[in-house]
Parts: sequence; structure tokens; C-alpha cells
Amino acid sequence: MSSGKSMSRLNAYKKKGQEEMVGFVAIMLVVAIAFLIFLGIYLRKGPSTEVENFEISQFLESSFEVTTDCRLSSTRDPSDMGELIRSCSANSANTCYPSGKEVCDEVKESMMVLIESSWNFNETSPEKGYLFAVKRETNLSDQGIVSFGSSTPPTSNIRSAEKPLPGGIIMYLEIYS
Amino acid sequence: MLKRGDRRGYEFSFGWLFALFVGAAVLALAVFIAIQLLDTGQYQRESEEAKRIGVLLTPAETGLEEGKFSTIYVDDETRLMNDCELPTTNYPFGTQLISLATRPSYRSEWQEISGIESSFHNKYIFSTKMPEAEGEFYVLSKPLSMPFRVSSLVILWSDKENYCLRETGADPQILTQLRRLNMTNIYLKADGCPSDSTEICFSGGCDIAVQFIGTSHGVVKKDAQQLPFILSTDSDPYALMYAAIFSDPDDYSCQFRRLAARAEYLSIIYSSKAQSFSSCGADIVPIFQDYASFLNTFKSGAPTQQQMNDLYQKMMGVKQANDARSSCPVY
Amino acid sequence: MREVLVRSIKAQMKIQEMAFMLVAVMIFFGMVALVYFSITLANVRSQAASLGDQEAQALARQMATTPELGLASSTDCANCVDMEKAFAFKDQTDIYKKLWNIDYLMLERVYPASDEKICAAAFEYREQKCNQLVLIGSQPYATKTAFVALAIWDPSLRNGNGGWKYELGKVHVSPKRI
Repeated sequence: MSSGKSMSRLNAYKKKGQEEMVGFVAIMLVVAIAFLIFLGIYLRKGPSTEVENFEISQFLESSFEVTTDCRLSSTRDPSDMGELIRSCSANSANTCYPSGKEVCDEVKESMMVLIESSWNFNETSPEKGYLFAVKRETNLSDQGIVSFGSSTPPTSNIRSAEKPLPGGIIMYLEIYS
Repeated sequence: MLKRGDRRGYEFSFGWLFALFVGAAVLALAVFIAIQLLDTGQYQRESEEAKRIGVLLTPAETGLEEGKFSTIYVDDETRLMNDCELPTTNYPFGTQLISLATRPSYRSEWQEISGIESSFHNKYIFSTKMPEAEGEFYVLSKPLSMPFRVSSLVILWSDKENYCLRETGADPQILTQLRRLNMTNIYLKADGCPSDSTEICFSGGCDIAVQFIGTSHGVVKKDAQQLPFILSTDSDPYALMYAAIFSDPDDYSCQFRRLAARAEYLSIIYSSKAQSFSSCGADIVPIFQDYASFLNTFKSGAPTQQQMNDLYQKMMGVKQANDARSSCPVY
Repeated sequence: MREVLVRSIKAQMKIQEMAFMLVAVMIFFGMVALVYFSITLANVRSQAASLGDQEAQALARQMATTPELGLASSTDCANCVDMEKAFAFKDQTDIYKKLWNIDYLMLERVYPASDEKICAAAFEYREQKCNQLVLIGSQPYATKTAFVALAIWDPSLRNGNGGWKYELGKVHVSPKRI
């Protein structure tokens, strides 16, 4: 009888020991899983996104100064883009000397070259398309004095900037990513 | 496990005792490590904050404006250590050193060791040695031209520092400028400054006395020292005067010598540029070279009033020669 | 006696268990600490690198206004780089590398188009035989860029008195490597 009793007590101890071991392993597992979840959440926070329209804003500032091939009269030096935009806004019939090309057309062609030299627009690159416009502040919903863009339709990811000019004119560029 | 043995007492098993003892030791160790990690975290935060403040001060520097006033917000009580190193062979423009110490709300004392020093070579910060702020630092940026643009001066004080400028004897241009900027903790009074403020005056005696010598330069008298300054060629010519007023005297001398070094190298660039403009207007190259040589003399020691007077004359010589080339100025 | 012996053995077993458990827990905490510190160190490095990046981004944007490169003679143009100064500057690059805490600085002409190559001398740039003027360093790394207007002196303008001609360009800046 006593050996039966000690056997059952031994079994009880074995069970208890095993329970304790299982308990310890279970705690280790819970802690490990919690740690992995924490690690996953911590590492998931990716790089912060920069305010990218600053790049476009600086592009507009710089392209405003660019010297073009268009002279507004025979006695003047080649004008910069800012002067051409003001001339085009004042009178769309103004022309360049000596080519006779309309100033607004010169603005459109020159800005197109500037924009397409600065970014690589195609389906495989980050920038898919763009829209450029020169508009009057009083009539922003209008087509604009000058307006052109790539044939790609706008996507949901749009970066843009605008540069206000004297005389209530706004130069505007948006780029689709 | 408490067991009732024979009726004399309870048995407290050795296993439990051992477990309790070791458990307490492990807990104590865990708390100790947690506190150490908090300190390391704070050290890291202070180092980042010093660099962040340095980076934030970059946009505050003026491009073309006359002067700009801005506020830098800090979360905890913050002490900023502002140090200046003179130009050396390795660092020809000298060094601006910034480090921070913070006192979070759960501590009653400042950390003995502050964060890692951030170093900049293109910044010039004028302040007391260790301005302490509860929540805000104030920054005044002023452009400095001697006579070409050299840099922007960053003048810094905290929400715990008050300055009161007595209007009597002050140049109206200075008063107009200060009223326009409307800076925090800078008061303009006809008389009767608050008792907790540092008084600045243009006549008579006070904590910081400003004395002009002619229309070219002057001296700021504070802490029993005299800090000479020149009037620059900017539309507001008082940038160095403000710097001398707000700055620790030793740091002012160091920063001015750094500025002189910067102006010297700029003068060398302009003399090279002037060579490509040689077909237009009178030869200006020797004037820039002479100016660069004179600026080099500031490396030998703290600036004196006589040196400031000579600097002003040389500076105006460069300006006049450049202005004479109206069709193709060098700067 | 037997009971004392059994209890003694049990106690020793318990001590053994506790010892093994402590060793296992300490090893576990040691591994956790190792992982934590390696992440923290990487975090500090990335924070330092990120702050260096921010500094370089700010510097790229401000390059046109630094006295060494900005077009001082025009108060209308806040975003213009004086190429005549850039050509002069090219001889003092070691000094200016330390001024701005950067490893690389390059001015690139975007428009008008020219050969896409690095300029060996100023005259090549003027004659549009190249479009990249490297002022500091040689190996770009994690560069930040900003659009600028590049101003070049043209002696033929203003009836032969000379004037500034402006081109569209970019400034490329690499922060100092940590």
C-alpha cells in the first residue's frame, strides 16, 4: 500500500514538474510572440515623406529667370521667361523679334522643353504626367492664358506648386506620380 | 509552503525563501536597467535636439531680407551650450558648437553630461554662454555685408532673459527696426525698465552701454569689457551691434574673427571673379586682394577699435570701387 | 530521518530548478538586450543620417543664397547661382567641403541642353561642351537636389557692356557620410 501511495505521489510530482515546465515554456512563447509583434510594429514605420511640392516651387522660381531666344523688340536683349509671360498676359498678339512667333507660343514651347528636360515622364518612371498653366487670379477656373500638359490623365497622387506674378497672374504646375 | 508541523511553529520552505530573494534581486536589476536606458534615451534626444536646432536655424538665416525674428519651441526645460572655436588650419572658418541639456519633468536636477556637441562651420550664433529656456528660444537673424554679403548673424536669447532698451539717445532707425520686428522679451522704454531686465542704453550708464564713434563704428561696453563693432553696408547696418549686445564677450570676439576669415576667402573668390570681368571697368582685382590681406590680420588676436576703424575704411574702398563699375559690378 | 532526507533532496532539486531557470531567463534577457541595442544603435545611426540628410536638403535649397555661390548683384533673384563665382571657387574645394559639412557638390545645367558629361574646365561649360560642374568631391552619395537658375556673364549683351544670361540648372549635394 505504501509503495502504491509513493508511486502515485511520484507520478503526481512528475505531472507537476511537467506542468511547470510546460508553463514556463508557455510564458516564454507568449513573451517571444509579444516581442515579435512589437518589433514588427516598430520596424514598420517607414521613412517620413518630404513635402515634395517644394521641388516644383523651386522649379517655377528658377524657370521664371531663364533667358529665352525671344526678343520683345529689336533693341532689346533676349527676354527671360518672366518677361515673356507678362507680355503674353498683357496681349496675346505680341510677337517675338525677328521670328514673328507669338510670345504665348514661345512661352508654351519653352516651358514644355524646360519641364520635359527636368523630369522623365513615362509610364515606367515615377512621374507619369503633368499640367502647366498661366492663369489670372480672378478667373482660376478658366482654361488659362497658357495651358498644356502631357496626354496622361491625372492620377490620385498629385504634387503641385504655384508662383504668383505681378498683375494678378499665377504660374501653376502639377505633376502626377 | 506554510505547513503546520508539530505545534511549535510554521515551516517556511527554503524554496520559497530562495525564490523570494532571487525575485527581488531580479526586479531590482530590471528597474536599474530601465533607469539607465531612460538616461541613454535622454542623451540621444539631447544630441538629436542640438542638431535639429542647428538645422532649424538654417531657414531662419536671411536670404535677402533685412532681418527675421522667429521662435524655436522646446518640450522640456532646455539649456543650450553655445561655444565658438577660432579658425585653424584644419577648419579655416572656425567652428560653431551647440549642445543641449534638458531637465525633464521627472528629474529635479540637470544632467551632468549634456548631449553630443553638434558642430557647424557656416553658422554664427551670438548668445550668452548658456541660455536656459522653459519652452522657447528666440532668434533674430540679421544679414551682414562687409561690403559684400558675408553671412547671416543668428542672435539668440531665451524666454528667461529680458532686455530693455532705453530709447533716449538711440538712433531712430534702430527704434523703428525694433518696433517693426516686435520681438518677445525685448522692451523699448523711454525710462524705467523692469527690474528683472538687462538694460541697454545709448547714453549714460547701464548694464550694456552702446557708444558710437563717428558714423563708421562703435563699441559695446558690458561685463567690464569693450566689444568693438562696425556699421555694415546693409540697409540696416547694426547687425554687429546687436550681436555684441546679446553675446558673451569672448564668444563675440571669436565669432567676429570667424566672420573675418569668411570675408577673407570671399574676397579671394571675388578677386578671381573680377579677373574674368577685367575688360569691363577699371581693374578691381588689387583692391580685393588688399582687402583679403587686411582681413587676414584679424587672425592674430581680438579685434580692437583701431582695427575696426581701418576695416571700415577698407570696406568702403571696396564698395566705392565696385559701385563705380555700374555696368558690371563684381558683387 | 527518511522524511528529512526526502525533503533535503526536494530542496536541492528546487535550487537546481531555480538555478537553471535563472540561467535561462538571463540568457533570454541578454538576447533581448542585444537585439534592442542593435536596433537602437541602428536607430541612432539612421537618426544621425536622417539629420544629416535634412541638413543637406536644407543646404541644397539654400545654395543659391550662400555668399560663395549666390548672385549678389541681383536683388531680384533669390534662386540664382553665380557661375562666375563657381568657376573661381573650383580651386578652393578642400576649404569649402568643411564649411558646409558635405562630401559632394555639383552644378548641373538642365536647359539649354548640352553634352551630358563632367566639365574639366570653365571654358568647356561656357561652350556648352559639358553640363556638370563638380565643385566638391567626386563620388555622389544619397544626393539631394534643388532647382536653381544658373547665371553666366555674357559680354555681348546690353550693347557690348555685358549682362547676365540665365539657364535652368540643378544643384546636387551629398551630406557628409557618418
